[in-house]
Amino acid sequence: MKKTSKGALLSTLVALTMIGSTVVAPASYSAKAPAWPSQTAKLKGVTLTMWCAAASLAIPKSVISGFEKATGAKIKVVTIPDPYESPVLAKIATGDKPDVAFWSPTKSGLTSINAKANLLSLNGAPWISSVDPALRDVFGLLGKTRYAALIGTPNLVGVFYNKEAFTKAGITTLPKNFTEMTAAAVKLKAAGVTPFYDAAKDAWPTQFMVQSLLGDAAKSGWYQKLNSREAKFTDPTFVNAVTAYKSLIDQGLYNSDIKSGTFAAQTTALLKGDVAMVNQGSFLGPALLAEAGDAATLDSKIGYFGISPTSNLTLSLPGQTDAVVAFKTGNAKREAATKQFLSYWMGKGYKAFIDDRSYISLQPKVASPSTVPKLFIQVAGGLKNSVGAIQSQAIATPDIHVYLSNMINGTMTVEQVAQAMQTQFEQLAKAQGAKGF
Amino acid sequence: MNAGAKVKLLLKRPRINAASKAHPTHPIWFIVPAFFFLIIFFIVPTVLNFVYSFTDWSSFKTEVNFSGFSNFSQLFSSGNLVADLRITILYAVLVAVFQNLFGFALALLLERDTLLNRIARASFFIPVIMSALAVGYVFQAVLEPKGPVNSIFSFFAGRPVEIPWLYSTTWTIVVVSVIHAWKWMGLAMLIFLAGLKTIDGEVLEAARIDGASWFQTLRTIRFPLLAPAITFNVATSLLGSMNSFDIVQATTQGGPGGTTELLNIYIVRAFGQGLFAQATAMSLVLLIMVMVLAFPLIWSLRKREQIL
Repeated sequence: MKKTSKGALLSTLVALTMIGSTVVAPASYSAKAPAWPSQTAKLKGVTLTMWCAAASLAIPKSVISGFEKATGAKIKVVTIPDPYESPVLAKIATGDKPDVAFWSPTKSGLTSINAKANLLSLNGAPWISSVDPALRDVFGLLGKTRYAALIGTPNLVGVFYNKEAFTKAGITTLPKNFTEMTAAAVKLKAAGVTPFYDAAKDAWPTQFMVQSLLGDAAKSGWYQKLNSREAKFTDPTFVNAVTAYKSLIDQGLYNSDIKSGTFAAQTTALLKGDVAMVNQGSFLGPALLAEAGDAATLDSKIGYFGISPTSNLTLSLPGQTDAVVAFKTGNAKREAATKQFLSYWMGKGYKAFIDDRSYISLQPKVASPSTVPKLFIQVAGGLKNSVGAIQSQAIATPDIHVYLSNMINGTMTVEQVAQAMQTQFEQLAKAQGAKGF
Repeated sequence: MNAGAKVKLLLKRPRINAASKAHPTHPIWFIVPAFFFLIIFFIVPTVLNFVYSFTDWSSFKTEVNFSGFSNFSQLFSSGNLVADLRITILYAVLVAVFQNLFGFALALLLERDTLLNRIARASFFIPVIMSALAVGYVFQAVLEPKGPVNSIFSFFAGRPVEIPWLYSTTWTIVVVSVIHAWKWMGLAMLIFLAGLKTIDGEVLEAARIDGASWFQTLRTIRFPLLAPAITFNVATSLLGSMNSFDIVQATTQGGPGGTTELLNIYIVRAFGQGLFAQATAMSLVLLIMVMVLAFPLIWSLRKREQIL
């Protein structure tokens, strides 16, 4: 009996190694990358699979139906449960791949999905020349290879403010740097308005003020130093930013229910004028619009400015709803059809797409829809004077929001936040096999 | 027959002759299908969990290499693992205490087989079959600082009450474990009820004739005779809640300030970062932890039963 159990164990182990190797072996793909087909070439009988998050499900609807009508192809949309990124990575780890998927076009996003092994190169795509030159190469590249197509203005981070609250406190000129913003906050508090709102319950919004405080450092290449291990999160650059954020909270310039604050409550409070300023991503715009009802009401109430310690800098921070990637599936016909779908999306289908979604155009020759609120255009304008956030510049993004929320709840000090950031950053960098880690 | 002969007869085993060994009534290959599924669905995942813990498996690259104990040394040196293990054990103990207290109280309260009691038993069992995530989300909404529970308190207190049920770095873990216990107390109740029903009526009657009060009967007769039910309830609630995830995820997501971050929540976070091997190593640590707790716990509870 003992012998058989040993034998069984051995065969199990052999089976395991085999399973292990098939799970992780890269799918064999066509040696020669398929060329770019005409946008509306017939594709009868071809079915492509697209992965979306619950939040991005509605985005490709119109472009998919347009493409299906024009080519006869079928696109099957699969909703991946939240939090989108980790289930997608888990599925890919087990060998399951779609043809197209929403994915963050940042360096860390493309690294985490192992773009080199899993994604199709989009180098030489026909639409690239029509994209605004200022935006063309900001995202979607890993080294010299393009892996992602930006479909709209990427998420931008800055301060959304309530115009009436500013008037009430007698603030007539917008703050031009962090010091002026703090002075305005003190004025607002004196006038009986809560200056800032943050949401430690949802946790993720807490990262933005600290990221804005790191804006100047980001511009001078601090994240690159971080990537090459010349700088650390425990350095004064990061520690001072967190300290400045904490001192705003300690001065009582934030909402008193910061610990139980949520993104939804943040939106409502800003629109109502209970809160004067919110440092948030541009996705706050659509949320505000939904609550305000129409563009005119929104524009009359809410304004925007970028902020950093010394200027009106905006942060750019593309998310998984901002771009799409194409997968190496090993099926040349489907890979070509996928490329065709992306060229149609960014080409003939682009105008209808941005009109349907009320997106701001990334292509100078295609006009943005007239229904877009002025606020959105103002925010998108920030892209010209912007710098990448940690997610777009660092090779790995530690759970900054978790640590900041812990700090707000009093279970972590500023130094502990910095240390936890550095430890996790090194861990992730090491797992990637980054140089020097 | 004397006692010695009886014992001898009991100890005497039927001898298997050579013929029946060669042609057993059930050939060994009959268990092959069952064994196949056992291997695929139980043994392989467990062994894989073990194997991958010692690799550098991540979402960042395609190849998987052995990396020795580096995952474990990294986990233990960062301190997160130990902190989360402590939280997990505290949570499990709290759940075991509350779930059994509530379940036992309900069992005593609903012991008699009246119609009303039967309806009550069924209603207390409803949370057991409800989705744990749904339970979590409902309590999360109900316990908001401006939510219904605080409104009720405010009404009776005559002033606004804003108890931060889910935002206290000290007490939230207790609140969440009470929610967990509330969900599962119906099951504990059912098992205690079954235990109470098996107690011999004559024993209780004898106690009554001897003049024992209700409380004395409970303390010295009924409670000790419930030992098997207690073994089951304590073991399942303590060990089951070590693996808890859903209720905490829905109510606090590990907050406030990481004070309810169970190991499973940390594992999901590591997995989401693409650190698959680290996440696997953590789940191995959790498995070992559950086993380390399970064997002495069940052994001592069993020992307790034998004394009776």
